[in-house]
Amino acid sequence: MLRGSSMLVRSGRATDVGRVREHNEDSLVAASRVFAVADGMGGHAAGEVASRIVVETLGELEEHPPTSADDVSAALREANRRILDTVDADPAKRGMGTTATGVVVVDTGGREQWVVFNVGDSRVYRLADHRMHQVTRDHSEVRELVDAGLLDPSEVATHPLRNVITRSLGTDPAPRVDVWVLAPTPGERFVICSDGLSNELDDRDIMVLARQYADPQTAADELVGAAVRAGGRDNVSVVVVAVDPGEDDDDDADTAPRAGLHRP
Amino acid sequence: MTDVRTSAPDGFVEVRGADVVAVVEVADRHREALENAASEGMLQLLDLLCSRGLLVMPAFALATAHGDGVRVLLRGVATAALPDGSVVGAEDRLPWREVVLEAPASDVVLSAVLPEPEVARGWRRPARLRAGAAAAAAVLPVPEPEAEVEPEAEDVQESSNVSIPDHAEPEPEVGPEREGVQESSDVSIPDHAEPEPEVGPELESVQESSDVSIDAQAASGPEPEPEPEPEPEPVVPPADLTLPPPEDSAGQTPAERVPASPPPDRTIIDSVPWRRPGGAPSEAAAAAAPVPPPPPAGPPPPPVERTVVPEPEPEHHAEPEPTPDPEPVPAPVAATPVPDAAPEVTTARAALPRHDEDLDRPVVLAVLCPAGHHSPPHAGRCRTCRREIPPQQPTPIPRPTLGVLRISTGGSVPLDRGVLLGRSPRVNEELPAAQRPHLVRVGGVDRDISRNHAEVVLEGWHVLVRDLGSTNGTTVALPGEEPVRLRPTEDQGIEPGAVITLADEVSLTYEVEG
Repeated sequence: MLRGSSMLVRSGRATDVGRVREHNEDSLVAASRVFAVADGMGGHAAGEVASRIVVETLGELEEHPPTSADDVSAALREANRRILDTVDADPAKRGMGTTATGVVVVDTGGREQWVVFNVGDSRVYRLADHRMHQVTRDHSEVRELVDAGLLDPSEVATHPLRNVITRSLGTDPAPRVDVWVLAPTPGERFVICSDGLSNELDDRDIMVLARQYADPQTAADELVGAAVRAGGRDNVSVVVVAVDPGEDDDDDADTAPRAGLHRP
Repeated sequence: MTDVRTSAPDGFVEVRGADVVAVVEVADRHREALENAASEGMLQLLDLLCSRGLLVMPAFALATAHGDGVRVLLRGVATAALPDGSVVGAEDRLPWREVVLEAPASDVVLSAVLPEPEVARGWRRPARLRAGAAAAAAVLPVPEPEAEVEPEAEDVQESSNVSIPDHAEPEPEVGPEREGVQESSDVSIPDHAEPEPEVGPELESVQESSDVSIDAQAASGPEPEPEPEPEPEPVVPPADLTLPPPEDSAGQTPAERVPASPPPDRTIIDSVPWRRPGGAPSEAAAAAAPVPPPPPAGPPPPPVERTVVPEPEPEHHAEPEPTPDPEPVPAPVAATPVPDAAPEVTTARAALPRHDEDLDRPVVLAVLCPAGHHSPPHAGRCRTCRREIPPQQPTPIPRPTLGVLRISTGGSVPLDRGVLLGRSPRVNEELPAAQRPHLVRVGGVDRDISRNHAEVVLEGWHVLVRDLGSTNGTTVALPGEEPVRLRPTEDQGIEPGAVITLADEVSLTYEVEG
């Protein structure tokens, strides 16, 4: 059990090469503040290098706790620079890149906040109140086509452009990083995954499995196992983050009116 | 005279600009961006249309003045009814077909022929896969006989870009020889192509109305927006928002979940009346799309050896449908060889010059300072570095981050989207990601700050603060002024340097970083 400052957070992580690939190009990190998945791409094992650079750079946030969403974006820009530097040093790695998505505990405004970030088509789901939704928005060609009304969501799985992502780390200039600040809620969970999970399991299966096991490590193992059994056509990586439900800071108690303040 | 009129079918928007008239197959929320571009000219409009790459460029019919005559560009299912009574389509030509009427024509109607409900296949309007339908459209009879439409020409013409003295001579019948139209039309009529740019007023309204995409121009479109069902009333909570605790739903089955892809525009905000800075998305498209059949239950593509495809090869996708078969065949997958070659290899679309973010963020008009910062069009000095801004034509750009909210207790929040402030802020979870605000938790354990206390809304270049009926109130101090208490749900515009204070406990300063 890890303590991300005042928030009680537990996490589990699992990854599998799948049934088709020879290498696992995904990398993941699940520490006390930083939880992330990176799905690398590029031949000759370069994808592994790119994704590892990202999780290592993000892992440095453990030592230098971020105080704003910009700090998280800056870490990803730094990772982007390191990937480019690595390519410069070894031209054989040209074209390597990676997605990056996850959640980071940020001390904003004197309180812990989640900062959810995303570049690419890996995903962060949030589960709370018996519901699940995808927090991030895929930076993918098919998502754009769906948004533009050009493609029905049911066609995404078989669409020829489904593996084309529109933002990734390892590009010059650096991609814009999507960030969302979220207020922590007791009992909530995050599922952070590469598309090896979301392409094999539908949202319903992901939600059921993610809720079914109190231990986030068991949940992560079960999710990865289910995706591999469903086909495992890509590397599968999952981090499950659980905010302790026992924490009670009276979020739902009524706000106390204060004397001396007059409403208009 | 050459009248360019439009008959935008469902799913198309009409765009008029300085020297161009077009109907484009895009969601209505893109209308404003298109009009901004069109107000600068034909080339700027085309540039925007292909900003995501030629492969996914939408269908369009576009007319622009060309010497004495008119150039008509056609892509996908779009059509143009020519003065001779013929209707021409793109005829499979990629990226588009060009038809030149050398002499002023009497009347050109831009439209499109929507194919049969093959949209049930899911591919709603992939222009490049609809080439067969477009070819068929070329020989279809005129949708609107000229005799009928002529009387209204005067009205419709008002904002048409090409207006040439009268000479309405219906051509006999060019009929079968479509090629003849292309290079030399028999129409010989005096010229006076006079573009009527209406840039001035348009820029003004664009700047004010930020990203809301419905405007007066839409009224001239012949097709009203389809409203298939009454928009549900948003739930506007009266005062302090008391959301049920999570335990309230404890009895529900864990199987309940949100839709995998909730329709982005029909969401009701169940906690706060949060706005949708993303503009009104594609209601028409969403509404018109029939409920798709369940996804093809066929076996997934067979796993193959790991193959690296560094770039998607445009040639594969650009290939038109081989046969103009109007039948709803499962064309999209079959027509493209790429998926089987490398089904699960993720590739970066680095080859394309622009990224999706260009169309994800609302578009604002901006001018550049000498240091390269963006500012609102009428700013005398840069909003970031205070340098004087030289006179220039404002250009539409994706809205930059407007600054940060620096929190008195530490930390900051970027103003790249709206912000909801409170002790335990919540919004509807089904709000699309692009429209979801930052949820920032502020305040201590003494519960002076309400759960959803105040919100900061971005509208164009403006930053607005609104108290959400909080128990202990919100004040705003503009730079150099005394704090003023906000009335609930009343918007207060703020400037850099303004300080927002929640319940006299936590304050946030709006800063623009240099």
